[in-house]
Amino acid sequence: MEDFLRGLIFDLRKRCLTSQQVLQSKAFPSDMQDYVVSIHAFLSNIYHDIQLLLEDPAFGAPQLLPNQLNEYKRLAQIVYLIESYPLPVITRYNEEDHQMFLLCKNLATQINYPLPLPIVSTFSREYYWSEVRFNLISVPVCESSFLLGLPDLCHELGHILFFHHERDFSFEFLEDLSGYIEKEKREVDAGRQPPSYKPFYEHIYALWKGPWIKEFASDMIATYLVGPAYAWANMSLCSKMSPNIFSPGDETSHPADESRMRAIFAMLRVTRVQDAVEKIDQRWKRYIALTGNLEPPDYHLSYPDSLLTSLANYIYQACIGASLRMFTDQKQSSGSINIPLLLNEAWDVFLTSPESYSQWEANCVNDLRAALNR
Amino acid sequence: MSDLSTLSHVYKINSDLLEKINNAVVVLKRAQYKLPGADSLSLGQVLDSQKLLSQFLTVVLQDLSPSPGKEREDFMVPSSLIERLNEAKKGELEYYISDLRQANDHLNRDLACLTPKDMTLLDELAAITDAETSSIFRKLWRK
Repeated sequence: MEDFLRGLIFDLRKRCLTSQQVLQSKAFPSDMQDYVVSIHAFLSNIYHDIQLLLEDPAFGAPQLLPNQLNEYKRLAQIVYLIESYPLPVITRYNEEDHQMFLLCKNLATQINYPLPLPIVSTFSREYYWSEVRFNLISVPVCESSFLLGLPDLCHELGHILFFHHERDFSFEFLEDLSGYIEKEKREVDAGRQPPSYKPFYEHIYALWKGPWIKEFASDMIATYLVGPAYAWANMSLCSKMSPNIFSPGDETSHPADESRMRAIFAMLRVTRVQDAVEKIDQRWKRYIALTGNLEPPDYHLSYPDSLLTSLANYIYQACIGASLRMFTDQKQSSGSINIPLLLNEAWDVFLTSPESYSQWEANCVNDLRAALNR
Repeated sequence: MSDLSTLSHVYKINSDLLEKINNAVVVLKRAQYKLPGADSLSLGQVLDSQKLLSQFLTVVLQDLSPSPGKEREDFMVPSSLIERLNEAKKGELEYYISDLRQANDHLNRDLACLTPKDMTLLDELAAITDAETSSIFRKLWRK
C-alpha cells in the first residue's frame, strides 16, 4: 500500500504542477489577474503540502499510513475542485463573463462590499451558484440581458460574506437556536409532545446549524442589500422551480421555499419597509393558494417565526457591522446607474406594466451596459 | 440558489476540520511511537495537538449528549458529522461517550497517558470526518 500511495501522491503533484503551468501559460484579461494570482497561490500551498507528505521521514509507517491516506485524499479533492471550478472559468473567460464581472464590480462598490471581488462566469447550468472557497460566482449564460433575476447575485455575495464572517453572522443566533431546541425537547420530556419528536428536534437542530442557516442568512443579506426586489425575485424563482413550497426537494441543502419567503419578510420588517411586506405578502398568499400546496403537520416546528425573526435581527446587525450599505440608503448619482435602485424599479415596472416591461428592460440593459463600459 | 453554494461552504468546513484533526493525530503518534521525525517535534507542537484534539472531543461530547448546550467559541464541529457519529455508534452510544471522555481526560493529562485504545478512537474520528468530507466532495464534484 505504501508504494501505491507514494505513486498516487507523485501523480497528484504532477496534476498540481500542470494546473499551475496552465495559469502561467498565457496573459489573462485585467479582470482576472488578481484572481489568477490567488488560485496560483492556492495551488502553491497544495504543492507545498504534497511535498511535506512525500518528504515525511515516517512516510509509510504502519501507524501513520491511515492518516497519510486521509491527507492524500484531502489534497487530491482540493486539486480536483480547482480543476472543476476555477480553472475552466479562468481558461474560458469570455466577453459575457466580462460584462457580468463589470456589473458585479459596480454593485460591489455601491453596496460597499468589503471582500475581494469574486469572478463571475456565465456558464451555469444550475441557475445562480457560488463556490465560496474559490470566490467564484456562476450565473446562467443570458443573465446580463435581464434585470429581474439579478437580485440573486446578492444572494451569492451573501454566501461568500457568510463564509468569511460566519461567526459574526451566526454566533449569537446559534444560542437562540439551542434554546429553542431545548425548550421543545423539554415539552417532549413533559409528555406534551410524542417521544419520537426528540430525534426530530435533533435532526432539525443539525439542519439549522448546517445548511439552513447559510441559506436563510444569504437570503437576508440579499434582502438587506436590494430590499423588495429580492423578495419578488424569490417569488419569481419559486413560481418557476419550486416542486412544493412547504417541502424542499432535499432538506439537507435548502430549507422550504415558504420558510425562505418568511425569512425575507422578517428582514424587510427589520429594515422597516412594512408597506412592501404587505404588498408582496398579498401576492405571495395568492400564489400559495394557486399552487394547492398544503402545509404538512408540524411544519411550523421546523421553521418557527421566532427563529426567523431572531436571525433577521442578528444578520441586520452584522450587515451594519460590516458597513454594508442597505438598500434604503442607496442614492442615484449622476453619471452612473445605481443597481439596487434599478432592480427595484425593474420590479415596479414589471408589476405595473407587464406588457411594456420587456421593451423597458431592453433599454435599461443597453444603458446599463453602456454605463458599465464607460 | 443552487445547493452548490451551501455544499461548497460545508465542504470547506469539513475539509479544514479533517486537516486539523489528522495533523494533530500524526503529531501525537509520531511523538508517542517515536517514529522518524519525532526528534524534530517541539514540546509546543505536541501540547498544541493535545489541546486541539481535546477541544474537538469536548465539542463532540457536548453535541453527542442528549441536550445540545451553548455554542462554544473555540471549535466548530459540523452537525452533519455528529449525525454521522450518532448513526455509526447507534446502540453503543453510552459506551462510546464514556470512551471519548476517557480519551479526553488522557489528552488533558500527558502524552504518556494516551493508550492504544485512545489512538484508535482518534483515528476513527479522523476516518469519520474523512467519510463526511468525501461524501460532500462527491456531491460537489458531480455537479
